[in-house]
Amino acid sequence: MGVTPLERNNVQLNGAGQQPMMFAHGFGCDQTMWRFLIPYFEDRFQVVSFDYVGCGQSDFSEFDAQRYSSLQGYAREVVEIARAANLKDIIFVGHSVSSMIGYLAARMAPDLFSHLILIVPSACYINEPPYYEGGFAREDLEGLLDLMEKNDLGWAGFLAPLVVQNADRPELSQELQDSFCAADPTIARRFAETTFLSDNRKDLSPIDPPPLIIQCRDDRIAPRSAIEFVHQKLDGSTLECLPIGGHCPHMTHPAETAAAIDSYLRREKLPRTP
Amino acid sequence: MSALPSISTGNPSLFGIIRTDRDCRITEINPTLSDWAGFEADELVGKRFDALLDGAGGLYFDAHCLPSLEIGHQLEEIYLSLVTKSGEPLPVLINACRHGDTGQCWFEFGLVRMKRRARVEDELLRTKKLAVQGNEAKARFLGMITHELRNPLQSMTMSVDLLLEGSLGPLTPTQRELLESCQEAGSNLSHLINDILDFAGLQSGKVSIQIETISANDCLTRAESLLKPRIESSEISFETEYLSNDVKLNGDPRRIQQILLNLVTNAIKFTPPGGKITARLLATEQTISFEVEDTGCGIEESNLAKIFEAFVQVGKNETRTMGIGLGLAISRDLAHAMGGRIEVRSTPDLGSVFSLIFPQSIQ
Repeated sequence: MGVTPLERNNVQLNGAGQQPMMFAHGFGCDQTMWRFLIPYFEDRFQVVSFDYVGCGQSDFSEFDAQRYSSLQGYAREVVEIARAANLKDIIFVGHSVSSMIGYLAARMAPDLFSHLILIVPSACYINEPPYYEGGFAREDLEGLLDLMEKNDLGWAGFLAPLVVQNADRPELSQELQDSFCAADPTIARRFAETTFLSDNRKDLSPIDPPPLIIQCRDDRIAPRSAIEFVHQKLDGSTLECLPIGGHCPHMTHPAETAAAIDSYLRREKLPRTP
Repeated sequence: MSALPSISTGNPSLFGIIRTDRDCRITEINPTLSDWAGFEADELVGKRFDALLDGAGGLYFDAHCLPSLEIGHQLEEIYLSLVTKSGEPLPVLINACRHGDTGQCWFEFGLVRMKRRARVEDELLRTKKLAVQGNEAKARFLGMITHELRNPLQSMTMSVDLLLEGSLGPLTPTQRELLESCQEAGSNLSHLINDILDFAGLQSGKVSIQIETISANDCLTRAESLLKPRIESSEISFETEYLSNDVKLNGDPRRIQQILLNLVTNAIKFTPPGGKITARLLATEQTISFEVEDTGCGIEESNLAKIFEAFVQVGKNETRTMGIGLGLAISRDLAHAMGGRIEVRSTPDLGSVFSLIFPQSIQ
């Protein structure tokens, strides 16, 4: 008997609300990265989070190199999870590459998705001079794969470090320490290749309702130009620029990120009451 | 913000230290780091940490290292390459941690230069990649060649079989003798090609193994009946010793036969007429062993490990007959693939004992 999507992807279903809010992590991590943002929504929504195959506590044996050689493969995974959990009217929150994955999933199965919230999206990470600045040269990606290889043992350094003991942060549990950023190096490499070589610029067109796009002021991975490109293509989308550095606002500044999302949810009158 | 002593003054340290705020903007560096990177402190303070990294390093840092730090993890032994003021790469090993809790935190990075070690690691990685590519290419090549060889061989052996059956008319004794010689050569060639295919498959991890729970005595019985013709045509005596209390093991019965055939065939090859081969089963509390013992020429101690290498044949020239030295390499890899192993002990001029050892099946 095969593994179900809920088992395969370590799907977690929580929250007190009816309408599902689905959180999809980006490259380099797993669903534990949402731990600081989810509490802002779990009283009003059904909260759904998961790990892509090869990340976190997913079933690594289900990894299919062919399937995951494109973001469409990941989008299909999202749709499978949604159907397996009987989700409808999903508000999809995607970080980084998951923004594109969510967009593609919404195109594949528009009946399942209600709204898209795209945190630091990019449709293409590689520069195409002179007109498109994705942020990176192709050699940078090769350099990244090299670094990942050299740090293969260094990944273990993520898995068994000393967590800063902090009485104010009881949520930094042993589980978090062990699971955060757990990844099979071969699969992580493939995820990196698929993510950073992806080019979804031609796939982007206005979608209804227009999504929320969250941008960080100083983000090397999704620079302003790349985010602007997505914003222009998704005509009518709302662009919120947070005065935050880095690529993970939902981790470093969950309150500000939640506020930006809430502002959008209020305008869109979400959650929908049955 | 920092509860720790300032690092920006003081004696030079063996380590480079960088401190940043929660946005990863540099707040302090120590003189050693300044010296290594070629920047004065005021050239770096206020800049983000990843400004010291190249494109790849920045990607790796922002996508993976920083989220890890932000969530409270400590980084250990992370390899990155800084870019100095003059544009030179500076390979470093980094430990880093977060101080304080999320609202008020800051980060500290400790760096060690590793120029020489980085060169060695680069070379190791490069050689490893080449070796892996070489292995894969070799396996693909072997697989392709043997498939090409099989087809004409099959057609030849079918024709010879037809002629020997008399389907195309009676044969003279000389014709029969020649055709039987062709048939034997065809069979040997077919075994050789199967060996090469198996070897290529094992090298690329693509050989099929079907594990079942099987009786040890049954395995030996099957091997004995398969080996009978070969043994009868040699002038070597053959004995078997079965277990009085049969035990079970987990293995692929077909592959176990393949290994036993290989071990006994080798024993026949290296045992002179008048010698003796014994195939026995031995059981301990945890293991079950198939032993093949011969009274042949034995193996020098210096060759005991070599005989398991692919394409290696040891022994006196007159004992080397058909084969290209793959049998033991394949047997060893098949044993491994089934969770077992092969061991050998030998005395030159007296003989050898090969043991195929499995854990007993847990019922």
